[in-house]
Amino acid sequence: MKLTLASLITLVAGITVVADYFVAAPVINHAASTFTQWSVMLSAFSTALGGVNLLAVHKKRLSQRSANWGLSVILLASMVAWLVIGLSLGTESSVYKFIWDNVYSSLSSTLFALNAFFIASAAYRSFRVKGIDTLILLVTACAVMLGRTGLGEAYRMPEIADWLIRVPNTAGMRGITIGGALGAISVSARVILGLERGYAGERRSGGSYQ
Amino acid sequence: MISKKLANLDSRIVYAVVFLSILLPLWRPLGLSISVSDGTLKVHGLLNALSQDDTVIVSPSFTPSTEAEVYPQMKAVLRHLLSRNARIAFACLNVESQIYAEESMAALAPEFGYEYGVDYVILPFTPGMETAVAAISNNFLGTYPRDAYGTPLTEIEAVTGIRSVSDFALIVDFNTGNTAIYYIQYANPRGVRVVAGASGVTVPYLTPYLATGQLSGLIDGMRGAAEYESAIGYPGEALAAMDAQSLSHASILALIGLGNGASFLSKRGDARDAEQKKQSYGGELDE
Amino acid sequence: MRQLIELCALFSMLLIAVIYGRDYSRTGTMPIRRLPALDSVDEAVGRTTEMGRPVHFTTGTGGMVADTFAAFAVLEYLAKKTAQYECALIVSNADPVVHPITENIVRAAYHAQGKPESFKPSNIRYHSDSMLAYVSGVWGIMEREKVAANIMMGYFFAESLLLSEGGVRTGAFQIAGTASTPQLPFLVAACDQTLIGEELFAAGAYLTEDPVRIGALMAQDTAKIASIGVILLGALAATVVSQI
Repeated sequence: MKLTLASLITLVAGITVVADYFVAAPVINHAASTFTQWSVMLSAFSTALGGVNLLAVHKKRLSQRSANWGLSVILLASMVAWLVIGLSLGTESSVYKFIWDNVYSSLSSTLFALNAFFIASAAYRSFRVKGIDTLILLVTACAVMLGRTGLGEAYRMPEIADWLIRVPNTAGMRGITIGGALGAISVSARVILGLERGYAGERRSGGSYQ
Repeated sequence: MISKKLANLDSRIVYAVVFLSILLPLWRPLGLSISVSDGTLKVHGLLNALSQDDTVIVSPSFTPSTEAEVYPQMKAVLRHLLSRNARIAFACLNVESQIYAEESMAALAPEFGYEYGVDYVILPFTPGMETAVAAISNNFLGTYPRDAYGTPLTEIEAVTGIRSVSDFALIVDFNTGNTAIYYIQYANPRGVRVVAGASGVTVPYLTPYLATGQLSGLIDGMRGAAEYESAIGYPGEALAAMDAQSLSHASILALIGLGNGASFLSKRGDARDAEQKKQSYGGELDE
Repeated sequence: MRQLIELCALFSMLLIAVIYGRDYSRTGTMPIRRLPALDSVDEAVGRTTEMGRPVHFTTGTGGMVADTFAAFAVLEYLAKKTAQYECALIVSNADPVVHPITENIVRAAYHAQGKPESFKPSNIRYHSDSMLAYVSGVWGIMEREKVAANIMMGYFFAESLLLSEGGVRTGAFQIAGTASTPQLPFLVAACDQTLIGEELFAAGAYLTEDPVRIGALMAQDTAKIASIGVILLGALAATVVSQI
């Protein structure tokens, strides 16, 4: 196993945080807590890094007059304006609140609300009865939807919907969650042990046990 | 053939039907009544049992995109918490969390005589989501040496006596993703109860934890918000919006029925045409 | 005590992974069933190449979680295929940490195929960690660049349906994979092929036939069988106790 500096840091940090869960030793617990705090700082730093990356990419598009460079101008102008207002006037200022309420919040809500239309369209296309399994899927979906409305109250639909979510759904979710969690353990173990380095752009794809 | 056209209905017609079914009840409310579910009752019961010595973490972990569904839950729960005189610490896992904490308390604090620093505190944004919750649970004071405005936490009366996450009476997380799971994973083993308010789509994901008791209560989407408003006897925006949700669900159900009917008729028509063609070819061959 | 049992289980998983990995290295018998969603990655690349249009890949807004690591293996395979067939690959990112990693993966894949000149860094794009900006950015790409195939692997939140319906509108062939259970129903409804839950974690082993990944996958499956046994035993014990 070729131990690069990055692999070594990954190994030490990963094993310390995993050990923190299993061992009640103050040294390990303190070290794990420090690593977790560092991780919070790294996350904050990466957000800033993302902003810098965005600036660099669009500055380049602008200087090269790439296709749709006008959109880059709009992006950079809004980004800088939002940043200056937030930093200079604060998040409680009326200007910040005005932009928040009337631009950012409204646009985000609108985009999410489109899900209602999209799910209707997807349901119209794909919820077709082709056999017993699709029929079960359809009846279950209808029961849960009716149970979430005031229209189903008279027919005890909320109770039926609640049972469907509590019993068959919970069983399925637990199965998928256990499978997913085991998969996550497997991937994380490979990353910590330096056996999964594809994400670093290395040409290795694992090694051999031989 | 009309059944074929209906089976492949233009998405824009589907959008228009859903749009009208949301719009009409907002214009002419239907006034449908709703019952209160078990998950909502559990949250209500836990909050009712709080005293004024208790401090609660409220975590507005949603974003503007899901504000319409989750924010009414948070407003109703905060109203209940304030009526119980509980002290509140807002944990901000999203950039937007602080704005929701400030906005909701600006509306409710004067009504209940709450004062910043004395009765509630807003903790600064902590990036990292899962690692942030792990950090809060492992080392609360280390993660939050100061509040969101730079005042040392040791000088804030609202969190007097709080040394670790175990000193909180309850964590209420309003989420649209995984944050409630993170609190269950990291804070719950340290002896603090966790309840959640979640968007409808997240609820099936959280229900398994409700059954095991790792999650002590769950408010389910817009309906849950309406249920909570009904439970505290303060009808608000969620109860008003429930009619729109009910009718839009009904319209989607009707569309699914229509799609199935059209698909069935279209297939039957195709089979009949194929049969006729077969017969006519058969006739030609006989001749 | 509980921690000790869990630690033993973890070490057993590692040991089983090594045993199965060695076994695969020796015999070369692939122990994984067919995964049509992964087989269709080749179909997607073929389709985009024929149409002369790009293929789009994204990992969602989940950030650096295990699902995203699993998705990197699919990206690596996809990038090698697009390099091989000279087909444009656009990668959209919502996480600033994931962005440089995807760029590294695609660059390395183009180098590995001996086509470094075909790699365009400008095709690996970071939009924003805000769902609104990210989804809008991806929609723009789908519409403007007439994406013919959309591959979504990783951890998704509410953007799953927004992105996949965007793909439906442009007529893209869509393959998705996630362990994010709340989003699975949407992806199944809107995409042509979907990897469900742990199938995503099997993707790396399936596509690369790497002994380490195959060993880990087998350990994962053994642990799953053991979990089923423990659940059945627990349910039986709880039933018996409740009857006494």
